[in-house]
Amino acid sequence: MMNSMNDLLEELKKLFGNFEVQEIDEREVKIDVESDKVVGILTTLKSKGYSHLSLLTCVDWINENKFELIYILYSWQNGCKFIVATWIERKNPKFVTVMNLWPVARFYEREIHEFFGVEFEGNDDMKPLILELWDDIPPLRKDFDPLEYSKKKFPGRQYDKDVIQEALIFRGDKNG
Amino acid sequence: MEKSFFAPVKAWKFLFEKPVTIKVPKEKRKASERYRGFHINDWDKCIGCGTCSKVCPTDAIQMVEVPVLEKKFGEKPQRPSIDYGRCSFCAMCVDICTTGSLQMTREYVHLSSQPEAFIFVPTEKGIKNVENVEIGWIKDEDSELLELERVEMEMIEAEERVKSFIEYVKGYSKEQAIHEAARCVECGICTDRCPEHMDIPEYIKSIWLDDLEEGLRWLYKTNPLSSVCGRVCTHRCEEVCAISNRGEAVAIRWLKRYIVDNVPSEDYMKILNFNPKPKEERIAIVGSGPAGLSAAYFLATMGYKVDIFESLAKPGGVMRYGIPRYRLPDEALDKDIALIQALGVRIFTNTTIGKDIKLEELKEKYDAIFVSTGFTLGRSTGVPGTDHPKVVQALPLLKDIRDYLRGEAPKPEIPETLVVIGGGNVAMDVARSVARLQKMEYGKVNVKLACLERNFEEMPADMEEIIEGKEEGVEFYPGWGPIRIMIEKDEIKGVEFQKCLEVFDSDGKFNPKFDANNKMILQGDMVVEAIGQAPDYSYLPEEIKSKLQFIRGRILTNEYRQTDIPWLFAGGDIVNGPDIIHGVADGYWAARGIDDYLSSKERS
Amino acid sequence: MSYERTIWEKIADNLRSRSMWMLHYCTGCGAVELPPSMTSRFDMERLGMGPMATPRQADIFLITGYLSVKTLRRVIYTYEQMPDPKYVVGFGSCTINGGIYYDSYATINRVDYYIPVDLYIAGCMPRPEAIFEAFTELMRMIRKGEAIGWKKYKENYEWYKQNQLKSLGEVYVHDEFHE
Repeated sequence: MMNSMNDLLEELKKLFGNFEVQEIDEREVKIDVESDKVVGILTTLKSKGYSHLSLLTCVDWINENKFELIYILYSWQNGCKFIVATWIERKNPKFVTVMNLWPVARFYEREIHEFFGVEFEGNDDMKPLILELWDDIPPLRKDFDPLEYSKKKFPGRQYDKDVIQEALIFRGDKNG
Repeated sequence: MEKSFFAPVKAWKFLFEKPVTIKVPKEKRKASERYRGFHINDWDKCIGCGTCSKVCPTDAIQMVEVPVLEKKFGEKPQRPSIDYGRCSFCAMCVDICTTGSLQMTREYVHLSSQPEAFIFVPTEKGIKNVENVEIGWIKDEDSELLELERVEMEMIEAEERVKSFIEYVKGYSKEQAIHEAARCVECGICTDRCPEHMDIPEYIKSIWLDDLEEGLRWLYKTNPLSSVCGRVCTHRCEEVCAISNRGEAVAIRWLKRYIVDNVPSEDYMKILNFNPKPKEERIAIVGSGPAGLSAAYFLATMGYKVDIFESLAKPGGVMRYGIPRYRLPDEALDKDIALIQALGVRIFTNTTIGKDIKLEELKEKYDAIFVSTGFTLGRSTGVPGTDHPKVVQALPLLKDIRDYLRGEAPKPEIPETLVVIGGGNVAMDVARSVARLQKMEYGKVNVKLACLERNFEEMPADMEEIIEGKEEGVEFYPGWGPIRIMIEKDEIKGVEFQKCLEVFDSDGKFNPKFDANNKMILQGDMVVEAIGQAPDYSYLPEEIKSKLQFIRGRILTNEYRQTDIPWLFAGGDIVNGPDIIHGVADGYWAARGIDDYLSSKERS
Repeated sequence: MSYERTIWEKIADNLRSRSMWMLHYCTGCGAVELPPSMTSRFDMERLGMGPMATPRQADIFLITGYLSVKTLRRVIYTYEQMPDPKYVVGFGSCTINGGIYYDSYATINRVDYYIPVDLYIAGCMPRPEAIFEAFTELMRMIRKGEAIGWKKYKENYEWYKQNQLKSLGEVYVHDEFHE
């Protein structure tokens, strides 16, 4: 881990209390923080040069009954990445928007809302972004069965051909 | 750079060059050498294992039943059908094919206005129905998805193991077992072959998932002698294992042993959680060999009261007194018997039916009787000299050795040189047991084994037994038939043999032919005859015997091992043979038969 | 599978087969097979074919692979805009029975459930050579009067519409960026 990141981590810990740190590589570190501290930490990081929200995404941990929200911040000054992760309840998932920090978050949040069903308070634009006329639970949730949905909505082909008969004729076991 | 004024004129030279355009479809282009085109499948090689169907990421392969294929062991009467409305030509089916029958060609053009044209069952002629299709994709070491070599089982070296009777197969460690279990493709062809139809893929999968309790439940669903079978089963399953078509079969037997060895026996009852509804009927079982114990187990789990009668001092039959200790230690057998006893089965040892209790008396006390008395009498070659006291039968000798090792009998007489006649597993057991005794007593091995079969492949003994016996110093003389035992001054000097030209005649009947001019003498001061055993039916009263049908010494029963006398069931060597797992299967079917018989009797 | 044609229609079909403008709906992987087909390596113009920019001037419609629900709406729009006679070619596994996306919530499984398909090419994706075989086969079919998907669409319009509605809910395209 780079020194500057270490210093920043120390500072964050002073400000927000202890949290779990996982070093991914020299220029990348993941921190697991409590959800009420996320906005504070993101604001601090942004002010320290991690000004680019390169991704906001979500992971469904169905066995833990939690969603994990992941913010990836990138610094154009030193090329380092901070991955800020937080856990929210899977039932009635709600979180606060970061649109005021990064306007682009509007679209990430719309996407997460569409595919996981997470509400972002403060973001009033929660229209579906990608899917059209979706009529089931959000499709990237682990309890969604895509095969079943596909079978229900988009019928597959039922072949009527007697394939064995054809193969036997090919093999000469039977005459055509 | 200054360009020449005439530079544009150079373009005219292309007038005389061949155009780069490839004029398809007039010009046909060959696909590259390893092209992944449409499939072909060699039906004669394919065993219908369905592994291609399981590995297919797009669910394009379905196995289709082929009614015209004959049913046989090691093969399922089904062949893969491929849906080109799904296939993504990834070739994983080819890379995992257990037999190498499924291949991909260099054909790549197939069009039709009819969707039905895109599903087909590949044959040797491919989708275009032509002979000698050019093969494209061929799997190589890098793309091979099967692991063809089995995890080697650690064994004690021959020089070391021949010095004692300790079990020389060490058993798999956890890592080895999981690694070996991962080789299984779960096709279930082994299940069809196993006489007892054990749920082999299921228990191998539980090893892979490291859930041994689940594995134990699968084992004891069908086989109460798993601890024994995990060591000495004849593993017919491994002979048909799909992997064995191109590589080494999955070590199914050792994996079974891994489960039973690694679950403490105290926990068995808790894990297996038997909860039978007690029933009133009582069942007697004669003989505590594999079939008897198996029947007792299944009947006890159904809730019946079961008593076993055993003429020898300990239960187990051939497992206790026949198979040598270095292959099957007493502890392994005791583990299985303890479980059966814990189910409420009573075992009366030293009780010979026909002598101590008459079969008729048993009939009075019990509702049904299952006899599994095994083949206990030895067969003799009948050549001159076999009546000499130092020409002995295999089974009594093996029993003496095991009793001695348990400390229950004096040391048997150990010959300095021994000649064994016979080429089966019992002969191997004798040879290897005596080799050990000789090593312990005299420090060197001198055992010679002669049999009619002309080579190791023809010999009925397992190849591994022969190889291991050889390593331990047993000398093999296949292809010789005894003429006489040479006796001088009442002492055995050896056996004279003549060359055997043919064991079976063209009809497959046992009818050996000899070359009387080609003779050989093997020195030895003791001779063991191990050419097979015969049943002893002396305990059956004449009246019952006359009602039963015997076919070449074996009792005829129906599918449920019921004899012509409704209350009398039979199993084991006296019905089917020839190994433990067939005995276990007999016990299972007899238990179902007895259950059917008793419940129908109750109803009427 | 041919129908009664007048002599004029036969002549017209013959001429049509020699001059086909194709609309390549390049949302699937098969799109990548078309540049070599069109350019000098295989040179599609030898067959009298060329790409067309708009549906209203196009004769053949290439569905080059999987169709998502979203693109299917546009495909139906496009198909209905094309003038008769019109021919559809399905490229690869995905158009026949879903291909590798058979279990996707976002892609349809068979194209002929929504619009008629005249010819399918097997492959994942089919190579340019297979595409050329398909084009010549399609020309043959047009000459023989066998490529009659457009007629089927008219005759079974109710059935196709009902399938479209079943899978899509609504065929009309709502688009926040254009509304």
